Amino acid sequence: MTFRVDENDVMWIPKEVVREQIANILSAWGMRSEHVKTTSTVMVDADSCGIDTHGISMIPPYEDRRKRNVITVDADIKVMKETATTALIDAGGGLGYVPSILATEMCINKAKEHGMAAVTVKESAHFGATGYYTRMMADAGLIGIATTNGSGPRTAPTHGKDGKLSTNPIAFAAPTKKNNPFSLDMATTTVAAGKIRNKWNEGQKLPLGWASDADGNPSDDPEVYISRGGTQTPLGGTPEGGSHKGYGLAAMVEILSASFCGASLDSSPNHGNNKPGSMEIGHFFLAIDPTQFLEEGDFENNVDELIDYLHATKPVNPDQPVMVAGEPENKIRMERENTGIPIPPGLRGQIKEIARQSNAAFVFE
Amino acid sequence: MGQDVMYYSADIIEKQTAAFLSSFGMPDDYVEITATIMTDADKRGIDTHGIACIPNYYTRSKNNWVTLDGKITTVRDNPLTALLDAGGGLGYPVAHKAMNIAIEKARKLGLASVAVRNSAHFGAAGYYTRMAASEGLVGFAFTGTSAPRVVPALAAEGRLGTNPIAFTAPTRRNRPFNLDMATSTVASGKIRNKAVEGQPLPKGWAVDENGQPMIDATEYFNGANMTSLGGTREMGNHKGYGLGAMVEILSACLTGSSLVMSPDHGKRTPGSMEIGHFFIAIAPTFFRERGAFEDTTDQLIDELRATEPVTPDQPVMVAGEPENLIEEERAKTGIPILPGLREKLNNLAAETGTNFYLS
Repeated sequence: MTFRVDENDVMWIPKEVVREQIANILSAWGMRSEHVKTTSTVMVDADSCGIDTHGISMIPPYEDRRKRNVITVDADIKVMKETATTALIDAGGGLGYVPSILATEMCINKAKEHGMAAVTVKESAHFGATGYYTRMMADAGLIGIATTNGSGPRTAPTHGKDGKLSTNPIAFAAPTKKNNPFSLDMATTTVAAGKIRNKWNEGQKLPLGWASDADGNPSDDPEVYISRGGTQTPLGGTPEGGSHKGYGLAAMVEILSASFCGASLDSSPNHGNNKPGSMEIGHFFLAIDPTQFLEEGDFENNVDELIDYLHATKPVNPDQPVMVAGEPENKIRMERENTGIPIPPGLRGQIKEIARQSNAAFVFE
Repeated sequence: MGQDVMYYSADIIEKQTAAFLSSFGMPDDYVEITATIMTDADKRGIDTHGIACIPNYYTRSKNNWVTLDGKITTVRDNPLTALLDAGGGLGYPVAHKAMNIAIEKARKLGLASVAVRNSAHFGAAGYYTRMAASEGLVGFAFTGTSAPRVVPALAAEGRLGTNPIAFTAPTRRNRPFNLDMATSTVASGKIRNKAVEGQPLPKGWAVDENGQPMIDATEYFNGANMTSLGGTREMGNHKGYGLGAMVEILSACLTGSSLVMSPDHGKRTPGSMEIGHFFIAIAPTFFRERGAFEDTTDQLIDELRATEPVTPDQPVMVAGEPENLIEEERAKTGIPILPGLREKLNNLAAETGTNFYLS
């Protein structure tokens, strides 16, 4: 098969082929086939809607973690504790996708029956884009909330020098009828680490408030974050800009993700490297059935009305209309249905090399 | 009256608050709960949510925007959830009841949520989540508000309220982790303070009617708006905006309340501002053995507080700690009341025939 390569040497590849490439590599690593199917489906969904940091570009870090034996590719997943409305899942040190899909499905089934449910996952690892799971809940007519802690504590608390929390994302989705579901999926840091890296790649300065140097002072030099022990800021950026709120949200995510299931804390020494075969990361999922409170369909109408009001807000710039959470990703998803998924040359090379080393078929040529 | 800051015991503040509420026509059982919760805010330094609200509540009551003796009714009662109607009253008694129902249900079945409609201002959201934590549960609280003065990302006009989120988690060794935050960058009170002192506003706190950053604080009162947390697009204000919309969905869409940006919000129905609240309680013992959740949370708090500070005189704290420190201090000093507020309250006491205890 040949794929279009643009003037920047970016190759545009159909979603199904990207999924196949991810699946080939995961299978070659020894992941069982039903887990490969689920994992590659969730990963390629991130690529489909422009969350390029959480799709196939995660294969190289996963390769590194597999080699360091901090993840177990062919993990056994067990439900450790279960009631009508709650559950605790042990992911066995594997990637977080399969146990998180299980947790989400359990939340959906329990909430449909009883009105609410919460499921936590321990002994897990990276689970991709948090919003995938909450959108599943919204597609089932439920309100969904999901959180996870992380593996790289590079976010400094307000007034602190050292990184103690990860990007600790929170996702929230609500079902609608007319519009696409409301789907918020946000790191509790000011920006993703990838955005700092992009500025560094291009030799550009950072806006003050994105990162701090190793002494905790705001810095516009991306190098301090990349190689000199600097930190990311919590949402708000500076104490004056309200960074204690982003810090508070990040700590809330840590409590939901770790305290409920007994995962390792981001703030702990050697977090993610304390146990062979497991990064000991935790996730939290919550579902609420709106028909507990309102007649069937009324909640969706109310959310549609809210979205319509927000869309109708006077914009600062007429060319940039006011959007709601999830809308930018929906736009990219529609575009990429036609164009395919852009895979830049550096990533293509990395994937090719990993495929070769793992004896997996390489299908991007 | 003098121009000095006066300090009063919490008991006196609570007595004064209760006296006002009674003379405005609130029934005794509501007065007791409301005055307790309002005074708790004063004790903890949340001065915008305590006795300072009294003049506002009087205006709302006089104009028939709230029904101080509103009857609280249970519209729906399910094993894990309930929907309450506040009858147009101030939100304190109904929020207190809602969180107690959530706690009781979550104890039995692991988690619960209670929605409230037809309500009004309920004070500091964190009070209700601390109720859950003191019973060993994790609590969430969300509320809608009365005025759309927070602008969405990329927007030139206000569409959301300050839409707060509160979250509290129980602990054993430390005080509970207690987050209570508006989803705007700063409270409007902070902008007012800059205006009073003639100081410029940090870029990202407020925007003018064209959505441009506002620097001159005095302009704020000519119809400008607050920003969503993050402040500017570059600093991630789409995240604060997303959180503000999430709070609106839980507090208004899910409870069947009025949306804050809808025309005539808060004034459409005589006797009710039609504001909604939403509460969640979760029992950690449904996931781990008793005490394990608290131990992990204590460990997190210890590790965060042990972070090396940027400047030694400003140690790293966790959510709720600044309020805890003020609470300890005010237990000794009493609660400070500024001369402007004291005079306002004195005049209001005279106007309404209320006993005045702050002379």
